[in-house]
Amino acid sequence: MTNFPYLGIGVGLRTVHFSHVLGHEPKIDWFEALSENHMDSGGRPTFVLDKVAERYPVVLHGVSMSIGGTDPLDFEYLGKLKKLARRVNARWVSDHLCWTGVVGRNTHDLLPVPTHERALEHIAERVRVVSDFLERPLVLENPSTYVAFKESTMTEWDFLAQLTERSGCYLLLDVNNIYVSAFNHGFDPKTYIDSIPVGRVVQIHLAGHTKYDTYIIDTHTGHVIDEVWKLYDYTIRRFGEISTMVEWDQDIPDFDTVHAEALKAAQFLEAAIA
Amino acid sequence: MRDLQLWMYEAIASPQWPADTSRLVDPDRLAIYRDMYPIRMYDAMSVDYPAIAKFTGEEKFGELVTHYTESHPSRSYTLNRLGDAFPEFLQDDPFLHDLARLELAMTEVFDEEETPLLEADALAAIGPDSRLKTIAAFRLHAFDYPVNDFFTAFREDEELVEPEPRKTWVAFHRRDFAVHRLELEERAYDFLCALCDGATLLEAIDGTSATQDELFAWFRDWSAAGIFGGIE
Repeated sequence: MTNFPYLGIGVGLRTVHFSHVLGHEPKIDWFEALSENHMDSGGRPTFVLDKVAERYPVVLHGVSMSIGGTDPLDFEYLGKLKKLARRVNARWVSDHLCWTGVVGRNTHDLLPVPTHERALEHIAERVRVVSDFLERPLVLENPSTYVAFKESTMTEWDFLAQLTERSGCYLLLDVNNIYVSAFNHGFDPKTYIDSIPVGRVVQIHLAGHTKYDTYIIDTHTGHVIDEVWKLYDYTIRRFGEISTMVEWDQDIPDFDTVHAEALKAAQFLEAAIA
Repeated sequence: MRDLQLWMYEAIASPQWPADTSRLVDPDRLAIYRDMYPIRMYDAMSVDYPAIAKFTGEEKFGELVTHYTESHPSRSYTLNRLGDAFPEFLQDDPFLHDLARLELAMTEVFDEEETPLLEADALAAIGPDSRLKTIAAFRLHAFDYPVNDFFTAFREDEELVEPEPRKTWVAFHRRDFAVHRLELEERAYDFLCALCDGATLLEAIDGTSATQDELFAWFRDWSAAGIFGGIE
């Protein structure tokens, strides 16, 4: 775990907050930047991230690696990611346990993988290749999912636990995603958390979501609901002090509102550690 | 896994509901992914083509995006490249084609790498055999419609009416991370094209009918705008 320092409470770096962050230099522990927003633009997004990285620790979070895909890994993408991570001294680089497209066509969605032995071996091998290429362990986030496959033979939490062992990857545990998927698929979210190996979780995501009659969609909008905060409390009591951030990507309020939401996590952390 | 992914891609991205959903525990939930896909495509395209989205309206623009992404599905890891072929897709509508070219040029200039500006001292030292290079964040376009004025009207939230055809020439460049549009007269456009094509200053001057005063004014304005990046 020495490669993954505890960073404290962070928020996502979003375009609508660029001017505020540069102008006010808010007192916040760290920022998570979306990799794809910065690896191809030579304009303002790059300038802002460079400035932020001079002042704050930065981690990179991606949505396009498609680690669960069956197309060949995209080494052009990985090369740009590696270069960006070096430039901003990213404390770690994360993406999702998902696939995004096939035969070169991209849905730009985080699509679920079947959880069985063949998928586990396939993804573990890709994680090893990516980690070697990036010269750092890969951190993977548990996705929120809306469908499950009949061919799956193991639970997502068992799949993730085995993936960390076989590939050496670490985990970004999205507590809201666990809550969303638990509701959608009818499992106990605490069983999920209890099955994730201690020592492999380097970051926690929190977010709001949108509940419909029979399912929940992970929309990253609004405040984190009380049930997710309770699950967060349960999570940090198992894993200890873990770098935590709040994602807010729809109807994004002013920076101070997002920051205040994230700082609620500090209260839970203090209570849990005490 | 691959056959599952091939099936699921089609199940999400194609307009028709898949005939067989037997691989899913909860087939109805496939609709969540199917519903989000066109929204994501629409949102990405409306970011890159806001004037076309506003002018055509939500329904028509949605239809355009649906047809476009059926024939030009995203093949990049970034949605920033989704709209690259949109001008070509709109080539049967000369006005929208021009407007799409203008909006794409703005996106390209916004994202282009930052390169140094030509220092004033260096500019003063150019001679007849000098070849001037523009900064990377620079594009030149000739249009059959006054789309620069149209885009200004869009930005100022004025009523949008398709204009009559009229030849126009526009330079796009980035300064202090903002994209600027500089409407040119035809001779200035031709002169800049010659420089961009690698002509020496003397060759470009020989090829234009501009007067010395006009040339002086052009260089003054273009230097102030910061479009030049180097000399060869």
